[in-house]
Amino acid sequence: MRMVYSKALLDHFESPRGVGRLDASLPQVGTGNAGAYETGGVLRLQIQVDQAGTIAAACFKAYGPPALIAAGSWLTQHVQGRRLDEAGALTHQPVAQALEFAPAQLHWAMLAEDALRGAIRNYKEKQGIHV
Amino acid sequence: MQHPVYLDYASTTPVDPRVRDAMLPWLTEKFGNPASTTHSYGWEAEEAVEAAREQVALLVGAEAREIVFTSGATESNNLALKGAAHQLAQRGRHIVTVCTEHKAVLDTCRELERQGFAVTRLPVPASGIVEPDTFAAALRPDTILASVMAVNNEIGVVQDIPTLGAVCRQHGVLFHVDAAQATGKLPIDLAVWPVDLMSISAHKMYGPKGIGALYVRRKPRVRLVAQMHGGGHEKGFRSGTLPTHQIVGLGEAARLARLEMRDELPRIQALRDRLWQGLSTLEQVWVNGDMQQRVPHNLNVSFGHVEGEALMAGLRNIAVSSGSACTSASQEPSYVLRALGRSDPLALSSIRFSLGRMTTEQHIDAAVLEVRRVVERLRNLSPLWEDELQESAHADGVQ
Repeated sequence: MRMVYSKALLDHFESPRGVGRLDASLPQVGTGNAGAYETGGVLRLQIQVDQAGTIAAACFKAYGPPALIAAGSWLTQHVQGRRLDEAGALTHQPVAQALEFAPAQLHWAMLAEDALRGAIRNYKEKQGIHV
Repeated sequence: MQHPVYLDYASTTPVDPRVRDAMLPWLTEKFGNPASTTHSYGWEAEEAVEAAREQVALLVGAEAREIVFTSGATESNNLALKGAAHQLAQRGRHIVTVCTEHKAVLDTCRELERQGFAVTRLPVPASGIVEPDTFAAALRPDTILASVMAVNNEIGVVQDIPTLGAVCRQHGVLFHVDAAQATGKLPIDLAVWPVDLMSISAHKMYGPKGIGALYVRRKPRVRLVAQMHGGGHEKGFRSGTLPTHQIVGLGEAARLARLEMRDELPRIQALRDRLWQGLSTLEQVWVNGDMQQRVPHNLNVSFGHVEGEALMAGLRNIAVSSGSACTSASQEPSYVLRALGRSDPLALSSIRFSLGRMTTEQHIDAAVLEVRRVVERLRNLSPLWEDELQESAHADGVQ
């Protein structure tokens, strides 16, 4: 079977946005990791939160199929400028919808959701905010 | 859209223009049925079929009357394995093959299991090459048939057919060889090789799709139970009107392969070496299977820290095969690479490059650039690659 990719997915795969890393040791940076090499996909998502509780910057790195790379890329764009609680309410569904994932690609959106939640949790832990 | 550079000749080859020219008259003005014995339309078609049969025989060191035309290597494998197993079922019901064989052999063996035969599938070491001792040890008193491919379709490694055939002779076991990937790529001499049955395909050697042959040894005579019944064509081995144009195409492809192999092999070897030279400057690139005992047309490599699906999706300017079979839910790693002991991620991140008659240095250079571009891009995206680079930089610093 031929893998079918949507236009939006291919665009993010070919020109990913927000690729990079933030200094994970900074208190205002939250880092979330999801997935495993053995299962074919690893996503690291990082957010930097300003004093007002807004995500000022987000970046990602990913090892995985085009769907995961696109999900990471899309998320960094989507959460930037959003308030932390807003971003925390995000699920995999808008990711999958925006990138027009096929059912077989859905679990990569879930992995992206896990990474985002992990990044928020990591930030809150550093700040001493109870999760 | 510009077509990508074709480096997938092991999947199929274009028909050589000389082959096409030889075929064309047999579709129109010379359309007779080779089985028509009552007029010249039939006679000239029959002559063309017999001339083609001679060319196929010459390519592999056989006699023309040992060549049976089929629809391709899959049918040849089916006819050889089922035909021999059904013929010899009274003597024994055990068959030996190798776990890296083509599906046309493995699935046929599975069907024979369903019919009550027992099948042993031999493992292979990381080289992909069957060890003769392992092979000999698998033969039992009730073994009637063994099947080993000459050249592996994925990794291009060449099995030691003469040695394995000699083992079969000693044990009185019939020996079938799937040579779909071998004809025209290495010298085959069935006058010397102890092989009883051998499958041949046209479209892997610049002939048309839909035609192939099965070599059936006459001395000592091999008997098969026919799998296709009808007009008793091909001495009863395979009924069905002979497609003259297809057979002429196979014959011409075989003639060209025989005449041009000596010049073609070193040329393709040089191109393959150029390809490997270009790719091996990347870090973490591994050749799958033995590099020496391999046809010059094949290079199968795995890339560390590159996910397979992303690799294939990224490679838009070359047409190659990957070590994964895309199923509806996920990517399945190649069973051949798994048998060599490759991990799933490395099996999935493999590429089979297969070179052919129309491959040029420009094609190779473009392929190297394309692979480097995609591999480096994906590694730069990978958090794991970044971690590994930092660790190795740290280790260097400590020293």
